Amino acid sequence: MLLVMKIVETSLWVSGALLIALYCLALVWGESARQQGIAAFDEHKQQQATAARSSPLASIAAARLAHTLPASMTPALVPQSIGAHWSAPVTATDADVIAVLRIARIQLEVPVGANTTEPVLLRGAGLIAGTAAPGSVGNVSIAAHRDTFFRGLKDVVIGDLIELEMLDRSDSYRVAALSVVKPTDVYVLADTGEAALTLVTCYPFYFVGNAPQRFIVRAVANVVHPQPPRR
Amino acid sequence: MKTLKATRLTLSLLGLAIAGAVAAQQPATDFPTERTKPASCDDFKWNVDMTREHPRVIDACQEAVTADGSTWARLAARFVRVQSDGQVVFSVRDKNDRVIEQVTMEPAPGQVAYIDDRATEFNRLSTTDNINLYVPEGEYGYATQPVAKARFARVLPVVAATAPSAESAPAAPPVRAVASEQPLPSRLPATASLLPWLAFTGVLLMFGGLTMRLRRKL
Repeated sequence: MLLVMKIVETSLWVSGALLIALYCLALVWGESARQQGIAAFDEHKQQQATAARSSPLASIAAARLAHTLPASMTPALVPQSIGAHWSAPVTATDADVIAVLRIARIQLEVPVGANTTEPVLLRGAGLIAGTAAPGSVGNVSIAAHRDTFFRGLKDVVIGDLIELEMLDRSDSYRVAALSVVKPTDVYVLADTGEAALTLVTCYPFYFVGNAPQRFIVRAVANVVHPQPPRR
Repeated sequence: MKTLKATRLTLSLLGLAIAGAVAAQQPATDFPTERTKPASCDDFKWNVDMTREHPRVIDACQEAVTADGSTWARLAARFVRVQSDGQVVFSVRDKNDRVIEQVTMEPAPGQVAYIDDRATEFNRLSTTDNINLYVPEGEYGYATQPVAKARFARVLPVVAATAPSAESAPAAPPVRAVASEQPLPSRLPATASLLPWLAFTGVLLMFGGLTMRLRRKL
């Protein structure tokens, strides 16, 4: 009996320690993936700048490649067929980074993926399907895990500046409203006809499992910094 | 002699003061003298081309005002942004502050916006700024003031997707992208990861191990 108890006790200690180690490893991996995502984005941006210098036609192609927007999000002004390379729609994969989101005051810097699947959310934030693409006039809506990258949203206050850096431009938003809604309140994602950014994460912030509510940060466009005209 | 000098000085100063006061009373030439005479949006005669291309603009009419002998429809608009080519985007709103439509305009040279009668350049506006736009009766364009010599911003048509010719260098990448064609999800995404569960279960297991050890020792 004593032996059985000893075995059970040891296995409890070992499995508990393993799970906690796994948790720590996942946090370290997530941080590493975040940094890699940002580095890949910066590299893409440099490639695009190089392409822009070498050929204006290549620059739009590089921009499109770098944006890696799903075909359904292809902006209206981007021609569908500029040469043979661009006749097929470009689709985003889970590994693609389409933007980098920054909130300087809470020291948040996170890559934004093209969707909100789990592989994307483990590496950073993701663009919610059906919402406007970064850089567009609509309501760009981005979600991330509240227990990793978006935990800092609990410290966001109205008036904070949010920067959304894309490959060809950088948009600045100012936090206009904070709210807590139900998971079914998808109206927060609706387009209001003006440039806006909506950040979504679970609420309460310290909750194990699927939280019953959602925390919404609503920001409106502050200043748009278009890329200087290319020669 | 001294008295004469003092009298002259006093009279000169008095004259200057009167002249200054009279000049200060002159109406500012930049502002209309009669700009708030109420009229009805129902009686306003819209430009046919304007209502054909922007049919909802009629719903955006806040009031009709008569100024300098002409009638203007006043619209409420909120600044959205200035594009790199100088074109200005406004969202036109109805009386309930709902967005009617977004219009892109090309301001006339020297045209400015007015916020509380203060002239403000378009690139100094912020996205929280509400301004009035005035449409002159029977004409197609927007003025920022209902005055006879107003400069009109040209309303730009919605740009259709057109493939550029091979020679033409493409401009900036998609700054006017539109919203996704995908439908919105029926629920907001669940953003709880498994990580807290891992940590929580790990702590529970270790707590169980500790409990067993304590029981064994006692």
